[in-house]
Amino acid sequence: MDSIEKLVEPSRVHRRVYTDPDIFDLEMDRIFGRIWVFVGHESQVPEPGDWIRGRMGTRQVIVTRDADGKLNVLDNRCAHRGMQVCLKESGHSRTLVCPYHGWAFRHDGALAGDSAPRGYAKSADLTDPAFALKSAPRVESYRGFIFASMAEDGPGLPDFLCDIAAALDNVADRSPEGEVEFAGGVVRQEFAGNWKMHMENACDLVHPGFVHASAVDASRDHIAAAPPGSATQQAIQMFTGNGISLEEWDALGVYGFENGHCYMDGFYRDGMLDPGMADPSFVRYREIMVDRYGEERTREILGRDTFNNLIYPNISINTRFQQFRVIQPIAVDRTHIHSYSLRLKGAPEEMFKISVRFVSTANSPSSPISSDDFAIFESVQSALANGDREWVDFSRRLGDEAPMGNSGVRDNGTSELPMRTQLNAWRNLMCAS
Amino acid sequence: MSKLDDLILIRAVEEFLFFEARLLDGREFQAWAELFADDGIYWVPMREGQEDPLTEHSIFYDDKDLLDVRVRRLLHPDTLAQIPASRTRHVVGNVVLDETDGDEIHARSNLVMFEYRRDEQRVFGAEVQHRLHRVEDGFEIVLRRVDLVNCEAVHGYMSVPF
Repeated sequence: MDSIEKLVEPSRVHRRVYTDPDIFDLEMDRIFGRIWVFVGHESQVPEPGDWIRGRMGTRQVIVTRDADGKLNVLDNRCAHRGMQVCLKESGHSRTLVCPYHGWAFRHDGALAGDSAPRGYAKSADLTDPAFALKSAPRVESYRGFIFASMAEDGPGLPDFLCDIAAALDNVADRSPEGEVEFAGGVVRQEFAGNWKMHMENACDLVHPGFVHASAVDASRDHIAAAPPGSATQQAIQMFTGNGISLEEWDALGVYGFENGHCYMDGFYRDGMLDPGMADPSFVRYREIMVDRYGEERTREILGRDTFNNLIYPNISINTRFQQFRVIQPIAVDRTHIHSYSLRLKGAPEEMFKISVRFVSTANSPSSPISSDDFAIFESVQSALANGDREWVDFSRRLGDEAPMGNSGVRDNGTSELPMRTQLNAWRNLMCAS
Repeated sequence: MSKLDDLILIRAVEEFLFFEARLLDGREFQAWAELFADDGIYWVPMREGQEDPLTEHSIFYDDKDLLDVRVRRLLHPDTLAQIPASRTRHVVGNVVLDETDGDEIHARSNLVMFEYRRDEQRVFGAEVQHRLHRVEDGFEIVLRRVDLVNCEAVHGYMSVPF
């Protein structure tokens, strides 16, 4: 493992980074087992006693709100014999009772006093942490988004997020009440490939013209065949949006930050997908926003035109369409994607319906967009698993990035800067002792 | 309606469902999409008993325009998710008519779909609900709702309609 550092060079990465099960295990320890990892949203556990299941990499956890209203992240593994304490995805209960032998735990993970297991030596101290559900030492929430870290100490959540906190701020600020809710259920998909491929693809602006050409052509042909003057719905506009030229992609910016975070500029320019959105429900929403924030601040909030915002290691947020995706590593060659729609509290319900339509069309298993991405990931995984060609190239526009005023750097859209930003963070984390 | 009329109708509906399955298995996707009414919907919910496709996510929720884009893409030579193309077999059975309301017919059936591509076969089971309108030469689809047995599962990508 002392050779990890040699696997990532400035312009290329060794294929083992995507294919070696030992490296995957080390990622679960040194990345998902240390840094801040998203585990859920406060709207999913609004009341004391509420809990949901979540993941920190392959670690299965329970996110709870205890009697004091505090958030806790506990291993979903009974201290006794390893049974999953919570079998359902979410619930509300006074204690968390293991279905195997009835051990009951408080929402902070401690063994509940009134359910002390019988038959143990009198000297056994039931307040010993060995009898508790293991809890994440640090849990913090930012604008309702709950993160946990398995490290006792390290930078706080705002310091870790640094400039990408703007994405969470923007998604929450788009609510007239400054708050979002996770609603509409979760869409879960899987592909037979490494989790990093999805993150690297999310701000790769060269691939759409190739990978999504069939969706672009199909939607253009559909529009051409429609009677003149027909309205084109959002989803179809979105498919055609992927068909802009390489020059147009290059005119957008991609941005990379410390700790591996990235984002890209928005690229929808037509009709309803335009940042100004002429749709009637959007007009009404905008009026509510102006009432709440004033014209200038509203313009600032709605004017932040970005597409994918990536919080390292595994979050992808589309702030304009209220999409939140979590990339869940399952095995070195298996990944789950959990997609959520965010409801903007205080906004017209129609805005939420637009978001649900977006997820059902673009981020569901039937998506004419993500299907082709997943086909790519599976193909790459298959090819990298074998053969004697050792390196994967990330040199496009290497050295062309320019520093910004903050901690970040910017380059033209076709740069592989976002992937290099992630892989650099990967190397730093994986090589930290 | 007499018992004989009932039998003739259910037989006609069965013929229509079998025809639909043949079009899908024959990759005649555009002809299949044309069976839908102008305001027709193809819906595959993501949750058992799901009532609303607008406030809850779905696996498919296509109006006729989206369906048209979808089938054009399926037939595009560069659709990566269809290289190689899926080979499918839809098996339709247990067809019952729930009610008939003037020109609108509600049919329920069970569906098994085998899909083979890239050395792997997937099998899907579902209950399918059809709301059909009688038209001059048969029926048009107002709603085709496919409730997969495993609708809540973690799914790989899907291309060919159920």
